[in-house]
Amino acid sequence: MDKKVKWTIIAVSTATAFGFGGLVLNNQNPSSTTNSTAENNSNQDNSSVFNENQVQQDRFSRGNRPQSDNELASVPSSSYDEGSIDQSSPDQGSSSWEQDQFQQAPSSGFEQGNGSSGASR
Amino acid sequence: MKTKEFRAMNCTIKLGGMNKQVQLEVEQMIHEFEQNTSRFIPNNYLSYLNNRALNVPIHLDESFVDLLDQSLTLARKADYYVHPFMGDNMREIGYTSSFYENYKPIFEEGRFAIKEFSEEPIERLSDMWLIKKRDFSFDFGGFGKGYIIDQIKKLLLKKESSHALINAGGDLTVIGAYEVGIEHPILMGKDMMKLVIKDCALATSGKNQRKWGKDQAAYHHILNGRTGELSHNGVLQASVIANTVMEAETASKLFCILPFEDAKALLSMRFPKIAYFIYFQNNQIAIGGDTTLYKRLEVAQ
Repeated sequence: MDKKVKWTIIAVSTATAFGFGGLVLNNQNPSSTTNSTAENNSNQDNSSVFNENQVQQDRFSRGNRPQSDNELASVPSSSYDEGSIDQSSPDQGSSSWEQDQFQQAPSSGFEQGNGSSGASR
Repeated sequence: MKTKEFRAMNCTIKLGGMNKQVQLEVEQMIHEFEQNTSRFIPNNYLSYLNNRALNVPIHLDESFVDLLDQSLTLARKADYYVHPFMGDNMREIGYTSSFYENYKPIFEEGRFAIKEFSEEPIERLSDMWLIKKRDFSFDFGGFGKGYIIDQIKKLLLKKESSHALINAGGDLTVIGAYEVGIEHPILMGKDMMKLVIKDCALATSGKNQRKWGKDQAAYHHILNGRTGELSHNGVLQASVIANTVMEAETASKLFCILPFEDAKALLSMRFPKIAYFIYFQNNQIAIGGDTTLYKRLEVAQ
């Protein structure tokens, strides 16, 4: 390998190293730009990996269900000591992100309790 | 224990599952927070920050640092479609005082409104110091309300509370399991759904309440943080269950800003542990997300 080729390799390697260094430095504080992919990734919760195979059964019902009404009637205030909502593994979401349930909005409503969520007022 | 109700942050606050002493402590926390961070209260700490000159180091109050940090973390995750730098944009659309029934807007010049968001308008010199790189006004809005509710929850957990509800005008969090409702955005005063959540938060954003008109133009308070424009995406109301109220509030705003599928794409990546309940302006509803966050969902007839 003659000297000219060697110097070319060294020059290209050095330029690549500086270029990479520059990219790293540029991403040191990426949070202040909108296109901060690196930062956004670092902000991602580890829970972002959810198992598609764990799609839950349909928990959705329409209208009153006598069974749950009876159960709820025994609960003081709006508290509900049901305790079986599984949050033991918070990073393992079960999701229907791909399976939204669409339907016509109801034309009536339930009485509101203390735990009603709506537009702020 | 009787639920306590009072007005603060321009909404009705309901505190359940606390004794009187704790209720008083919480009420004081909320009033103090509002006093410092509301943009509708003159000469407070937020006003002080908003009136600082450019490129001059500003020392941050310790209590404000955490609010700012958490808001920025969420704004970044939300790709700045929601962020806390829109005070002047709000003034420009007439949201210049606390909202009330039959609101009469006063439109002010939004001289420093952020129209094309390209970067955060502040630079942190250290944890406690920042400079403003361009003119703007802070407006923490839903971030602020979410923050103080989340802080109260932390306080209650420290006190080993096993059952509590904090509901600030529809943005709420619970310790233990509670039956909660999602208000019908058309039949206001009624819930269109009820469900049970446990140890998490539920927040709702909507264009059905804080709205006003001028010269045939309709305004509401939800702006696209990237463009500064009113959002028109076909969503009337979005409710989200998440771990914290701040997260739920941010995600519900995103559903009110972005086209539905775009919001889902962003949220499924950045906020996968949420469940959502969307009411579209064509009177359709969509339910999706992480179904493990609630039980016993019932929809009214």
